[in-house]
Amino acid sequence: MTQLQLVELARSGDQPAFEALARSIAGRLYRVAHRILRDPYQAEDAMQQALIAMWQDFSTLRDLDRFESWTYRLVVNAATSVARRDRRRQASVTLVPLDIGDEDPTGADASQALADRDALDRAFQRLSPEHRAVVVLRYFVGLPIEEIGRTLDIPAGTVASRLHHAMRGLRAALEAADRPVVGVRTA
Amino acid sequence: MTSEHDTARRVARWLEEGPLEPPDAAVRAAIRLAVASPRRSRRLPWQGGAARRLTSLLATAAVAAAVVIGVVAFASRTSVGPAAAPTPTASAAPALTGSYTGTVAPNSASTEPGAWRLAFISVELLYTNPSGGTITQIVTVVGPNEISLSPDTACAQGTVGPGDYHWTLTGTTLKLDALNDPSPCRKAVLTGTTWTRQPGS
Repeated sequence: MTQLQLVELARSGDQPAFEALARSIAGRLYRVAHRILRDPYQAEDAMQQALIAMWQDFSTLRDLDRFESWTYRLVVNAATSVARRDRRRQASVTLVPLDIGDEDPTGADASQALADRDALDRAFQRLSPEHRAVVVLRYFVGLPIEEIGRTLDIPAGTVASRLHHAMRGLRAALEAADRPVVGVRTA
Repeated sequence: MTSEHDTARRVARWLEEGPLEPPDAAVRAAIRLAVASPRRSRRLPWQGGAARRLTSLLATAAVAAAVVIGVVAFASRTSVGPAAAPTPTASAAPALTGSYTGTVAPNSASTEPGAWRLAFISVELLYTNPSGGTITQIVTVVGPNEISLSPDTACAQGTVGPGDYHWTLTGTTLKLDALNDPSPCRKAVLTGTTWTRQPGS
């Protein structure tokens, strides 16, 4: 059965079709939620909220071809809601193995990746959930700006503006990380 | 200096890091919670749902505005000064006053098929769909056998402008023809059948 057929059945209230569909897209929703929230537990929460909203609001999906885009909107809304709810909660720290392929783990590339991770982690946390969402949809999912606008139901100009603002902050963080540490000679 | 391209490349690489799949237990729990929750029906009254409160509020506001405009127009007509050009005011054509029923067939605008009811009451046209949901619009007489209906806020396309119709009443049979209506929902219902006037209405 194709995804389109599953979507059609699930929209009409078919529970097995919904379950199959939910299982097929849960990973994608979770990855997007995780990249926005940077916390595995919050990401699970957002994924769950998005799947529940999908079931409850399926009748509002008019164009079946927009299903994928619609689910991105659901998960971004859920992630934004979770981020605001847990704003004061301290984010947990998860150690993620760094994929450096065949490169020498002691080499410059690995060092740069580590430095980037640290700088980007901190700079990203300073962005609003809405700014983080456009960065993730653009550079993780790979959507063009116009498509992000359609997905989030905001003008493309707003997407471009949020992306510009977010990338400026991330770029400044990377530049600060790139600067060589200058030693201080004491007398 | 970090270039824009370099920033994008490093951000994309950083975003690739992280877990790929959620725990299966979390997915199972989400599915269980979802199917146990009620599905929301967002059907609009043209499609068979209940009337939206906003629609009723807008209609009420429009009636109030029409009454105010009527009072002001009457007052200005009685005052001394140059005669103003006549403008259409909200009013039902007296000949149309009453209730009508008609059966609307399935159509491309996806309005609910089945028995609809129209009621021309004072300056309002009240639609009742086969499920009992209602829509109210303001009627303005714009010419002999011509009426204009207030903007439609209940169609899926969002609020669309007023609709102009020509009407013909032959005995108890009312026929409405669209002269200009941007609302496919309203047009599908009003022109999708001939309407039969109910006795005693």
